Amino acid sequence: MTKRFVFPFLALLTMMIAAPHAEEGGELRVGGDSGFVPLTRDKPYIYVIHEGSSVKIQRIQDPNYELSGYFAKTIRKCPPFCIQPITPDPRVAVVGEVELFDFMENELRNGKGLLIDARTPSWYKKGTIPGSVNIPFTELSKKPNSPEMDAMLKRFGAKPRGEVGFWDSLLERWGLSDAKYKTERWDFTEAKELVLFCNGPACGQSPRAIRGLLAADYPADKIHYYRGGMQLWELWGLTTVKPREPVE
Amino acid sequence: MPGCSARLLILLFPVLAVSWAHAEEDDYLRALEAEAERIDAPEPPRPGRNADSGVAENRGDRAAFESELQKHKGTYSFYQTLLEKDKAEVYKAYREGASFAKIRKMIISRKLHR
Repeated sequence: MTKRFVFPFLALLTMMIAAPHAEEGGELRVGGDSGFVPLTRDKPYIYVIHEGSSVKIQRIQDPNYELSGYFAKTIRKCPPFCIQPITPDPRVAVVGEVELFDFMENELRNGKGLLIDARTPSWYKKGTIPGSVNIPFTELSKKPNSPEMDAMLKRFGAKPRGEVGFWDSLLERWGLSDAKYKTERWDFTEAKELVLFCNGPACGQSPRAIRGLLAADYPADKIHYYRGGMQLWELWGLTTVKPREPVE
Repeated sequence: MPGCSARLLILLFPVLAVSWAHAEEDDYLRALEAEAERIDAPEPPRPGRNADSGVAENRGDRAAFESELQKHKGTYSFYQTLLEKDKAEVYKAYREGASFAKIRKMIISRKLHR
């Protein structure tokens, strides 16, 4: 009779003592002893839509995986392939892989964000991060107010303001109406959050694209820079995709 | 006369600055494209890396490896769909003396988890 109560009590006590230690030990909670390497401690994998299909993003499940090929080489001619500063502009936030996973699961999924592979098509077609779209930096470095740049801003959700009335202009100048995301020509209130990347920390393509966007008045706090780019993405053995659609 | 040429230089400066910027942009694009083309070329063997592995040196080139792989139709069809960098990785493992079972496992792993 006593045993019936003592054993469950002892088992419960053991679990209560053991649980915090397992947490502190830094062991993988996902997958347990299976050897599965998750994206993060609590995220085994995520799904994103790429070119209309669902793609699972996860670490490559090969304990012997090593970075190889182009991205394993770290010495290249400089210029032009020089190590980039942590951010192309102090107003632009830098993100890492974990923040990118969150972005994919939130802003990208609900249509409020865009993941931009800012490399030229010849690079993009070799493989990219799932969920990204290819908008080469050459397209994003067009002159501010040029028709090409205007079309790009519209694509990102910015709205042309047209003629701003005298009173609206005055209220905005006095800070009496919300003008945080408004410029003389554009309303960026509904503009998408952008994450731009290219080949990695020694790649100047996305920094150029970011500078082009800033020159066109795109709000800096809606631009994010994934500095690790393809090099770090592949270093971690994360899923890449080859674009299906023909690239011009 | 010197004052005249200085004035001309000042007038031409914006034009020159724009053309220099374009030239820089063009050079950068050219360097990028050249680098992108270089990746498509098969990686040349690196003797330094394999110096301690006699097996690797005797295992032929990548074309020979691929023709060998074609004998295993299923594995080869998976291999064909891999990214260039994954193919290079598989070939590197082959050169380093990996068994066919390991090569097959690598190909399947890259195919399923990419």
